[in-house]
Amino acid sequence: MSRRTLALAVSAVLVFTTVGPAFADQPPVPPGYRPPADSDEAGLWMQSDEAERRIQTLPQLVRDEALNAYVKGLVCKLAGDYCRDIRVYILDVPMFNASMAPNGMLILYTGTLLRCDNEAQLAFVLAHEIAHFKKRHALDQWRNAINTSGAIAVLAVVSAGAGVFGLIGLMAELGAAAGFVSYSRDQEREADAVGFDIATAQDYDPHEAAALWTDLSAEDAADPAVRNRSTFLSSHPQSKERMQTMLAKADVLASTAKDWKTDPDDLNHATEPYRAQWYAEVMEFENSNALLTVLNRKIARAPHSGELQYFLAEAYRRRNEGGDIEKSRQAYQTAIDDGNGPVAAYKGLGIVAMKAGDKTAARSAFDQYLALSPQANDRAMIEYYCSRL
Amino acid sequence: MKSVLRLSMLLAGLALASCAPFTLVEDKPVTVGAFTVQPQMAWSSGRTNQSHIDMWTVDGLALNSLVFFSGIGNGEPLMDLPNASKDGTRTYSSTMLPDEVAEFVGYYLTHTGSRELKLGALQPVHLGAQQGFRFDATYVTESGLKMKAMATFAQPNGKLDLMLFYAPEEYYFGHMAAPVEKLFETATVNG
Repeated sequence: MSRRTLALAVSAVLVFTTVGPAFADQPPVPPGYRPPADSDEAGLWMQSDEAERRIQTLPQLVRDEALNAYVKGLVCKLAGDYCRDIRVYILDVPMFNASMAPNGMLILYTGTLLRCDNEAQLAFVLAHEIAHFKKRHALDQWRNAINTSGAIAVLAVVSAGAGVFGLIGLMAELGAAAGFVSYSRDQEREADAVGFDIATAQDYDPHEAAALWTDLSAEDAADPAVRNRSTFLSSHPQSKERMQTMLAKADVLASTAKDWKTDPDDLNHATEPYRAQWYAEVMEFENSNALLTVLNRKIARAPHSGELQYFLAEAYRRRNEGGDIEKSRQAYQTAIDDGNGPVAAYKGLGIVAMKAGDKTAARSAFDQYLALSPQANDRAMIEYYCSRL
Repeated sequence: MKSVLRLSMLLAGLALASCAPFTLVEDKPVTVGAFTVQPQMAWSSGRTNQSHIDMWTVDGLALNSLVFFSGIGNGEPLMDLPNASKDGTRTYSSTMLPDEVAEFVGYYLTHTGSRELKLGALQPVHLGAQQGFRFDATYVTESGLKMKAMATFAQPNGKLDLMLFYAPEEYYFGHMAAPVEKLFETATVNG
């Protein structure tokens, strides 16, 4: 693929995102829609199709059948007759993001799956993107961009990041494009409203939409750089505004007698094989502050999760700023006391106790680690640590 | 913005930046930075423009690289990362336990474009008179190439001395694993 072709392709992928003037309200796309071959929209779709073929070869594409089936199943539940029109691509990127290309290519970052506390929150994210597709927002923005800046300007901005297509390169492309091509705030508000209706029609708890934006707002506040790394956050209305809007809608809807659902177990089950890797990626690619914010709010909802307490301990240990070792020690202990933390919590407890100079506690933790994991492949290392105590 | 360069490309860039020629390393004991090693075969050696880093290769840096990091002190990075802010780059601490040193090395692998990093279990070893440690790692480059690595290090006087070998999993790592293993086993750290 030539650089120019790739630039065209990537620009099509990213059309979902722009600041733009008022848009002409397009009629909703009908299920099974393909644009007429002689239309500008067909050209837009062709470029999206080309980009989609490129996405399919990315090493960051998560190919796990079970996880893809879960997300695709949820998309179909929400999209109804549009199920066949939308294809899901999960990318292993630790930031919060989801996006919809004009041709129905839905990209979802693993950072989104990690941050959603339950299926209801994920449903609101996906429904928002489905709304963009149904309302043909990308076409409006594409035409606005062409009319106001010209095609050359559109391509110039996007092609600047098109030469590199790795994990960071991909995000650079998304980020570069987001500064130019993003949905208007009005379109985002419309997608919020339509997406809200789509998700609540499937009985997903309306308060979870506001809860999600509250959480993202907190993460944003803890680390303002998050906004710069996420096209989703940077192009959307302020989290506070969305939170208040969603909350008001939720309060009205929730007053109706209905058995609203959150379905945390399904999401937890689908993501269970990957969460350790995803937490580590957030820690490495973003920072411990971002991970601590995510973990602390998850722990507020699930205080007895040994897994969450273990990763909280790991995050504090790795950040290792004032008081972090003691916080890490407490979290490892809580993970152990809750009875469902990983055996590695004993090793972590031994390490932080050793760093704190508490030899007795360190030896006790290491002994318990080896007792519970007699075949541990790091036994020699643990025995070395013990020999130093 | 984190580096988009793979480790081998970055190190190759460092060598080019210094205009340092590669020189032949014969199979006889040689001192490289903090290490004295028996090479086990002929290598090509080059210095980088970061004075604490030496690198060797047999077939080319992208195919197999043995990198020597010597005398990393308290508060110092393992290497300079392009485009990384000083505040955002992880630095070495003399109080790091061996597991934390392995994580520190992993950080630099990740931030030179690697993904899906998996660190193997640490093992205590001897590097001459110095207490040393050994671990293996696997990762995937940003272009999807599966890589394997092995590392050994010591912390004499609180400073970090590290040898890191990495190569594509397919052919090159297996081809070089035995002699590099032997090189690691016979290495000494001149602490």
